[in-house]
Amino acid sequence: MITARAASQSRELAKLEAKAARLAEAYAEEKLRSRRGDPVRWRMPRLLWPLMTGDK
Amino acid sequence: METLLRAALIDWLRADPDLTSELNSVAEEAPVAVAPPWLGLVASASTDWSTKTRKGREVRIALELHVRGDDPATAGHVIQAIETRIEAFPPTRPQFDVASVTFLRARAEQRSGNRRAILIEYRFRILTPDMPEEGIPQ
Repeated sequence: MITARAASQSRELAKLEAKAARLAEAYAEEKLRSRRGDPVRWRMPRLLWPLMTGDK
Repeated sequence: METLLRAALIDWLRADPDLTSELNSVAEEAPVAVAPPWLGLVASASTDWSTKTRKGREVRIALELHVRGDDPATAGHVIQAIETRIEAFPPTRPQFDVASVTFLRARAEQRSGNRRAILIEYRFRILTPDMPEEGIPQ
């Protein structure tokens, strides 16, 4: 697993981390639903556009 | 504005005789009890795209097409008709102006029951109508 440690915890960095986490969560859920053949995965905005839909 | 765009887009697609002759349903959301082929506006999301003088939204729209058959070319002409219709979406409407319509991506997969599903995603950038400036006092 690739990890990185930042020297400073700026607000920009925290935002970037949150975005990366949202993308990773959406990717993982999409893959899981895809393996199950779940058609609903195409109808969930947070999976289609994870960075557009905030924390909804 | 997102809801207005969704309604306007569905009306626009339903008004196309080529599409209505090909499809059993053009619906907002995925229809539950309709046999393929059908088209549904299955997802949308929006963010702010306002300018200094006008409110605006960037709206993502996902359209799902379901057809029967395992041949990838089966839905080709329907997809082309949908894309042509969306590209011709009128830029000026009573509730908003359309600044741009952009195709983002599409994907297709074979489903059970000899069905094929195709997802098409678009980005719309819309603004509130351009209001005439206040009359200058004489």
